Amino acid sequence: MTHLIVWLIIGGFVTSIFFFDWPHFLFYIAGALAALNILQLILYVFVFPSINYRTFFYAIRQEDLLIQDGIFIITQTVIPFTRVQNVETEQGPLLRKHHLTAVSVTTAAGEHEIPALEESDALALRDQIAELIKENPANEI
Amino acid sequence: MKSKGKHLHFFAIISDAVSTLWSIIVPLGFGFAWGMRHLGQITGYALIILLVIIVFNFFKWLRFKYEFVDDQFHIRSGVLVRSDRYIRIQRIQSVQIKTNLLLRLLGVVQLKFDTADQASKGDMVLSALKLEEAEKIKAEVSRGKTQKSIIFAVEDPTEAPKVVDDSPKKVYALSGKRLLGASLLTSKVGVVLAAVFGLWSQADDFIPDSIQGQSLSYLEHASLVGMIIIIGMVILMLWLVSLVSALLRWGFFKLSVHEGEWRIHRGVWETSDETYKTDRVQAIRIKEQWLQQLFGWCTVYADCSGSIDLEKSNGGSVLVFPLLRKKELPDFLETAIPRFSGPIKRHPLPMRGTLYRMILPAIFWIGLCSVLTWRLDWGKYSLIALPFILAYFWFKNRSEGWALMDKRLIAINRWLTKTTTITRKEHIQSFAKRQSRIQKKLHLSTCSATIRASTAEIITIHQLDETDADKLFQWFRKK
Repeated sequence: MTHLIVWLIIGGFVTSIFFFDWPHFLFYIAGALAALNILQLILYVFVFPSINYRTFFYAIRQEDLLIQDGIFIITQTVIPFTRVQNVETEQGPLLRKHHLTAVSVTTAAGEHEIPALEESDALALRDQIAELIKENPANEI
Repeated sequence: MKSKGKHLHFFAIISDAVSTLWSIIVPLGFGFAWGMRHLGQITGYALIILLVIIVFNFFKWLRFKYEFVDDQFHIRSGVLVRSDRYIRIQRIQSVQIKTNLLLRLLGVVQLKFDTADQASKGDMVLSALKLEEAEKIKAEVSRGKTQKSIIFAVEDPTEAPKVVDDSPKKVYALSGKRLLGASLLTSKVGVVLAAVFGLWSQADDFIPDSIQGQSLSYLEHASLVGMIIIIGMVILMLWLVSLVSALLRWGFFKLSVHEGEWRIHRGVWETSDETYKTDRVQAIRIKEQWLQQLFGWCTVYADCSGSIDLEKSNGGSVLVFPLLRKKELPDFLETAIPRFSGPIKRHPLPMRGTLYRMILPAIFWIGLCSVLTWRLDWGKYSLIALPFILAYFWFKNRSEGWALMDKRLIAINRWLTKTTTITRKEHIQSFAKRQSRIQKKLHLSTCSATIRASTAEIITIHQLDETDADKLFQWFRKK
């Protein structure tokens, strides 16, 4: 989405320079924007996903779920099952095509997502977490 | 227990479609009415709109009914979409009674219930009630709660039914001197200043040219001393304005600590009576603005779960007490909320973290200075500010810290105001430890704990030592 907007701005600059006699230094700005945009595209399409693939993991333990995520800043998050309110699977058209499913757990203060798992794994994980929630009842006030 | 997956009733399709259509039609309808206004008599349409609103509200009022049914509170509302809401009295977390000047003239108050739901959907407001009626409802609600506890007590044969006394354990009232002090120390000059500048920028439109011209020419003729005096006067005025507003906000502030709940009364013109259950409190925040810190005072806030309305300026935190001596704080916490009380210690953060955090502002300011020097004559003088900025960040970062006391986690953060946050392990919803590659080289790490306030609130401790971060992480993991 932001890509589209930035390309529109660049296009707007170029046409304005050609047709409305806008100052020529705008070329540099348009060029810089285009370069940054392409760089960002390359990073987000080719570089970051592979790094993220290597850094991401989740682990289910007796009492909590551990998720590691991040590209430059590696974040490890612990979510105790006593605080999990519900677990959810989600599958968009693209994920469905590749037989993948996202699993997310919700606590009272936010949602944590495991973005793409094999369908059967995801369902098994969901059931396992649901089971563990039952085993670790919330001490809710 | 296993049951077959079931569909909703077939009508769901139509009902969803209608609600989608409705959400499209209403804005369009308003747009249409807006367009029509310019075609015909403006007043006529305005009157029609007004009439529609009044009629609609009349039906809303007619439809709105409340009653007590056994141990539930039943609210019936809605004209087009009818809703019946049953709230178990047990589940009502707090009752608030509010008035403002207009309501008070009519002898009417507003009553609000909070439940554990999120702020967006959780509150029930009875917008106008006679004061006696509101008091009656409040009494009914608290009676419903006590009744329940008496039943519990009876079920337990070893214990005689205990009468829950309604008298407060302790009352903290804000004395006149304190009120003045609180207002003096915390008056937000900056905010008022910004507001006045905002007004001034708009002032062109509604101040006649002649007056404006005069005031400007007067300013031009004024000497330097005159200018300084004028500026000083303006600041003094702003300060007085904010002082008065603080006085009105906090006048007659009274906190009564009851068994398991707080009752907070405040306000001069717009009064509010609020009840909070203390087991709802997720974290205590102790804020010290720099002026307060200089004189050894602090303000106490509480982050509560559930539907605290966000219109209160402190982002959903409840003001527990506006001004307290730091010496009195341990006693205060001990009486008000024992589970958060205890010594407040501070582990300082490692030196290399402090230095690492100063790099970014330094780079930013140097970059800004070089641009200024390049474009402007006086640009190079802006470099003079650099040591001050660095010194500020130095002191800011050095005064931050953290501590782990049994089940309590204490985080001390500072921007201008020093904030000490105390939370407990059972209130932390999730805990995260993050580390960038540079941090890894420096053996630093950042920790953040998420708690459930009216919105998800994140308590962050920046640039801890790696081993300490691990310690915190393990502390949260083990039972």
